[in-house]
Amino acid sequence: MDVNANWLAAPIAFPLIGAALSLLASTRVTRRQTRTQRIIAALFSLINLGVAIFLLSVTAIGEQRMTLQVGLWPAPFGITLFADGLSAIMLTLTALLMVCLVFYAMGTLDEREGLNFYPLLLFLLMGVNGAFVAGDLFNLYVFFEVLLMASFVLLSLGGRPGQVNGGLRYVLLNLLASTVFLATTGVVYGVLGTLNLAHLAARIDAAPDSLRVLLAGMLLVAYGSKAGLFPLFFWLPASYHTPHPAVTAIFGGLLTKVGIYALFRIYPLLFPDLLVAWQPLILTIAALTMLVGVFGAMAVNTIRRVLSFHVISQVGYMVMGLGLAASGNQLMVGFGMAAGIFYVVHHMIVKTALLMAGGAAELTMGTGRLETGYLGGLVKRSPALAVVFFLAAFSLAGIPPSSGFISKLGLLQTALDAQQWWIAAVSLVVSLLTLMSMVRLWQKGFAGPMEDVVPPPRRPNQRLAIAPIAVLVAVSLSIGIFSGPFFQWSRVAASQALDRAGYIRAVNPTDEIAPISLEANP
Amino acid sequence: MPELYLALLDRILTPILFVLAVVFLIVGHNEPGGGFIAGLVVATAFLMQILARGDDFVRKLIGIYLQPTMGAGLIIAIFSAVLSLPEGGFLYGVWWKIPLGGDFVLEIGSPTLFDIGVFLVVSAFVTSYLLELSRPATGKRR
Amino acid sequence: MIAIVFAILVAVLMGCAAYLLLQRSPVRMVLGLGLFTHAVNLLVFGTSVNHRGQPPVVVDKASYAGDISQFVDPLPQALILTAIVISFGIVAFIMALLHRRHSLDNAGDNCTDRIDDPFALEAPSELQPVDEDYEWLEDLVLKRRLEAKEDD
Repeated sequence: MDVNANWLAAPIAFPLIGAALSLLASTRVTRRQTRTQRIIAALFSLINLGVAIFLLSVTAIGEQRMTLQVGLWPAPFGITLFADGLSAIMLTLTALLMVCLVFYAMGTLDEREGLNFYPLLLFLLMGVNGAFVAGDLFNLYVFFEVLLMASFVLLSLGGRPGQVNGGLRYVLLNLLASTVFLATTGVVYGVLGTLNLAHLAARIDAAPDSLRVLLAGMLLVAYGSKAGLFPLFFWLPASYHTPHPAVTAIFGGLLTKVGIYALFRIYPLLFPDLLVAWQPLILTIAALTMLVGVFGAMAVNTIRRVLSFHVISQVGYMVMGLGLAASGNQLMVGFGMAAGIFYVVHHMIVKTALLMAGGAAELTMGTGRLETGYLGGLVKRSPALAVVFFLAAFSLAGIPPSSGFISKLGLLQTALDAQQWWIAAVSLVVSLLTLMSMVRLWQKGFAGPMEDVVPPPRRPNQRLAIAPIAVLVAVSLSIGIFSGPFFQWSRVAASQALDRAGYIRAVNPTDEIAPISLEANP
Repeated sequence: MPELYLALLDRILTPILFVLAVVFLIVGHNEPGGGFIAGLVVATAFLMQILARGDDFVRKLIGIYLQPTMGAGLIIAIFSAVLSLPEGGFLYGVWWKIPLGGDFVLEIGSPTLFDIGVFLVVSAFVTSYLLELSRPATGKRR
Repeated sequence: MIAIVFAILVAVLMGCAAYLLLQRSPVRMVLGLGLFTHAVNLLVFGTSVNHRGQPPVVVDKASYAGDISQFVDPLPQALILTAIVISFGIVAFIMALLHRRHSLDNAGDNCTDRIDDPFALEAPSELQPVDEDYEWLEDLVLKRRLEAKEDD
């Protein structure tokens, strides 16, 4: 199947067009303007979902790679956009979450909806999509910045006191991480003379060991702090509970996973041998991340703070997949990578659903506190919300037949095959603690006596708020029950991501370029 | 706070800055300049207006057009990128020659279009940023 | 030789930036951030020193009219330009946030002093409740409760 490579620009172009159109529609804050922006956001997130599914069908199902040389400049000289199974899976998940979130936001948002919420959301989508299809290090940096910029504004939209403080911390620490990334980019270019990922992969083996260790370490710091890995996660619990619940939901589902994607993309491509040599380090980071996240979740006392800490703990599982990527089992080499990708799929869906449900609970009751006397009795007050929360929570904890069970099983099996008993033990303990934490949320927040509270002035639109959560929960359950094709796609994505030669062949960077005289392209 | 001398001076300087911006925008492809610089120059002109006549004056004058201008700029930039899809690919540069009668031929290319888009976005963004920051910090909840 | 000068400059700038970033005052923090991004920009610029005389697109070097050996690689400069624009945008945003915080403080909405907040920029003055994000909503609810009681 020969596909026009220009489709690769679509995940960047369509959200940008949507954002531009909704900015055009905003002259002043009126109800009609908000309605126009809603329609545009829904339309363009649906278009984006269609494009993403098309790309998924080409790459993960058709087992192909797609490359677009922007402006027809040959590979190391121009901007390269690239998609394989891994990119397409992330694109599709992002698109699905974005569609659900747009409808959830319509149901729950307060006056902050009028402050250009939807254009910002579309800018965020553009940045995330761009990071997933970027084919060189510098554009990865640029799209990281685009999505961060949109996320800064979304986080502090409305300017409530808590938001301003959370926003400052988030901006500061993320900017530092980005700057480390930029410094790495500069060093890479200075030493290797290229930034194109395929060109780098072809050249980096010739570089001295000390340099490769330096680059790998700097990238681990940069991506690790974006992903919320162990020593660098502290910006996340300091800020994620402050914005509107809809914003928290999309942040928890998407943003840390962009860092994880970058790790999954860069490490097998540029440092495959370090993936083996650093396995103890990566697994230790994974274990500490899991443990710190889950213990942090026990110590805090509002729904969204608990769930934010679980984001960190879950990121640990994904990095565990990366740590086990180099070791195989009887089925295939790189089974750990496939299990890690499958875990990302599960996590993005379930986490967003949980954060949406937790946010809806907070908005319905007017408080997020788990102490007695605040939340409680939501089973009676809003049964549908309780049902979706229950299903999502138990999927996160890994109870069969949910997607959480299958994805944890995959990781566990790889760990046992690789004879890393201790990481298997840690992941089991963390699973148990996650289950405990979910039971705590359920008992304090949903079951229990109905508190005598007067509901807040503006309750969320129940139908619009709960339907997207139900869709996500249904997807999670169907991944758990019909896991065959999903796991197959993850395996294709993992084998494509681990195949350096294939990547280099697909992008085909030339060391020589045909002479371009200044006349040919006036 | 409106300033008398600046208010006199800006009548001369503002048109000059606008013309300068247009010059930068047009020569920008081959010489120093370009959409970004031109946008900053326009923002400087508005900054002078803010200093000379106060932020409320400027806000009333152009406040509601800023966001649509950003949108329009983005649309123009994307349009220039998509325009070349039949010619070769996304963001490929294409040029047209428009005879203007006599010996004059206007050569215009999609990079110029892209630069115009950048110009609109940057000028509107920086102006609105300056307007927001020049709002006095009285504790008025938005 | 020039590379060593660049390295020392970058190191000094980064040291100053680290010192400023660790200060309590938000303005110094922003200055530190600006200095840090500029140090990294200088680092990227310093990398182009290695590539002198190798402009990337001009391949037919023999027939080119100019003196190729004096050409500097333009790509790091393009990277720096992009990075400057990005850091300008972010610093602008931080300034806007600080401006907002200042005006909130003026209004009596003290958003800085939280005892539970390890990142609070100023020392906490008194014990405050934890749930900053829903305080406004809880206030409303309490008000409603009081009104309901008065009605009874």
